[in-house]
Amino acid sequence: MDTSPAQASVADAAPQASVHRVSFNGRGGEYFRIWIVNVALSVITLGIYSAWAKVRRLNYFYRNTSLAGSSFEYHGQPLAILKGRILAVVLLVVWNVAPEIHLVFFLVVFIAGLCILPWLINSALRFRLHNSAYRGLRFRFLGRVKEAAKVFLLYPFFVLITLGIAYPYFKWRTKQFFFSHAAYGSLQAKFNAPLGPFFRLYVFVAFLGALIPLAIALSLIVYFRGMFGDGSLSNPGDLDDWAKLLIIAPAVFVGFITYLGIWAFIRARLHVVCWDGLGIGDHRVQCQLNPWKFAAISLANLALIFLTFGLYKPFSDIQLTGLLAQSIELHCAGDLSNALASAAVETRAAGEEAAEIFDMDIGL
Amino acid sequence: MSGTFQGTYYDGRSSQSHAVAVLIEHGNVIIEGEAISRAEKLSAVSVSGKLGLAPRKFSFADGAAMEIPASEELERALGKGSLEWVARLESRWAYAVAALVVTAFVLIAGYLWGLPAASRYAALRMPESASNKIGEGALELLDEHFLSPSRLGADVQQRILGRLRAMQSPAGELPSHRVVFRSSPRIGAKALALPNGVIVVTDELVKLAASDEEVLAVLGHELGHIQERHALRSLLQGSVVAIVVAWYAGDVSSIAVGIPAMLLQTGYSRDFEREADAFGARFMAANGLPPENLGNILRKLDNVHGGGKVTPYLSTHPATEERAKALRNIH
Repeated sequence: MDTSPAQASVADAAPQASVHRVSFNGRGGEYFRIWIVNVALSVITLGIYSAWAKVRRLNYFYRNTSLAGSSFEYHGQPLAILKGRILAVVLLVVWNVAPEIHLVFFLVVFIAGLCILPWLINSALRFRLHNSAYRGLRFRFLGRVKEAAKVFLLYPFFVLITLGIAYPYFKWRTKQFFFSHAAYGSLQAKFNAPLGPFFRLYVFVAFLGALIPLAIALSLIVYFRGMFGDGSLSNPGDLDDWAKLLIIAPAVFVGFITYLGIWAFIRARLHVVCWDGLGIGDHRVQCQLNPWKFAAISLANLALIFLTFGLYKPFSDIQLTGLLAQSIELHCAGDLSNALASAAVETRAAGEEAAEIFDMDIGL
Repeated sequence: MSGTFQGTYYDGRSSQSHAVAVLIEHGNVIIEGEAISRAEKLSAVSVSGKLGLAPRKFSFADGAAMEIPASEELERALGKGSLEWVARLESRWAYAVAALVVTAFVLIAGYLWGLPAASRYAALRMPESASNKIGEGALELLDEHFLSPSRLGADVQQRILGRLRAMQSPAGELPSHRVVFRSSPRIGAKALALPNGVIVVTDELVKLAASDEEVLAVLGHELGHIQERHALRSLLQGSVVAIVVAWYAGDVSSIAVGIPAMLLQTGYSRDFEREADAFGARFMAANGLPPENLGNILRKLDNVHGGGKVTPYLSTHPATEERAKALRNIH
């Protein structure tokens, strides 16, 4: 195409590898104030303001995240988000009410829901990426609804018929769908995460998830056997309600905590496995994060969130987002500033096309 | 207002970043950097509003962009940004605390009064045909799995139905209804009001009752459920509670949504039971029958079903003693 000054200097500059770590400057106290004010406004307006609140919230995280001296930006328009949210509420109401009216009605709604699900997911991803920008250039999502249908309808079916064994493969495919179709300017992302770590992760987690509550339950049974071991307790029904509660409650509680901890562990591991080795044009991403540490911090935060009826959540979000963002390091084949050149015309057209489709943002 | 600031400029055609000096004065923004020189009217540039201490972003009509780190000086130079009033609320802890109080108040008031009032208004104004559509196949379903044909003598059934037909409503017309008798050792003594107006009474309940008056009292309670469209209101209120709880707690954990939602929903269910009790008592009184009959049969039902020591907050019905006491106060 035309030889812009930027492209001319790429040809002249000596390639110089550089490393840039993502930095995050969000502050808990500052974000809490933003969060609570926006929640109050959303509640007072019966949810209408929530679209503006979402833009504000996302922009706080985007603008406080920076790479090589430049921050990100979210361009989502509140009206488009509001349209999407109203649609989501309508769908939810229909989903809730349909089974009450008649079974046939519910089946129709269910099948219709399955049919539009891939389109919804694809649109939401396009909206989100198209409205994300860095250094004045937008990101793009190039996935197609047909592939979304395969990934989000067909593969869950596989998971079902293999009784869950195919789940790690399904998870890997969904991540691949998202990452491999993402692009920044003219640079396409390349998803390099192997399948192995996914299987190892879920096997490990299933093992933990079954083992810990089982261990607790067994030890409690042994304990109570010891207390009533003289045979006076032949029928478990003889235990009064309180004793039953004393046995069941701790096991359920520990199971619950284990579940929350596992969920956080998975979140951290998936983050690392997906980002580490990701290619962006000629550059590579490296990602390192200790999943145990992340899970421990998540659990501590969840306890605080529970004790404060949810008020601690903004602080927790800031801390966890910071950990995840700052685990990412970009290794550039050349100087970052020169390397991410793109053909502006191409980018603009793709942006327009995405904007013409029903701009919707659902639950992401 | 004016000032000079250090910023980073991007031409929108590549991701090259350029360090620039930005002068903002007299409504103009002048940008100077290596190989960059441009001047625009501030009004022609889209400037992001203040958002905490996050950098302020500039978007130019030709696709170029710029960012300048936040500072008080920059705020003064730029003047009012978009949603400035929100940014002002976000900047003080006093406002944040006020926002917290307002949120808590609105949510609690909404749950206790707003939502039930709106749901009642909507439900009572819906045509009966729409309200009856809910749970249309319910009786067939129950007959398939839980109920068998009644073993009560036809004379007993006719006697009760006859007395019911002769009774007056405490206010206006009784809703359209149809009483059916069934035998059910599985469910035991019970009366159920189905959303489409069918009232199922089990043989076991009739046998448990000491007199026809006690059965009529229970029928009055069930008519209350139908009259007040409790099934529809329960669906509306339950759905809204589920949506709000999911929105608030959902991204913490999807498990965390279940228990709070259920507790809030059973709260509504207990209110409906109290309303049905009140209707049942007025129904009895309007026909010269003592409302205590309802309290009596409720106690008997409680004993027969082995009153569980479940905490009152998990239960869909208020405690029986509380209900009996409330009934005694209605004449």
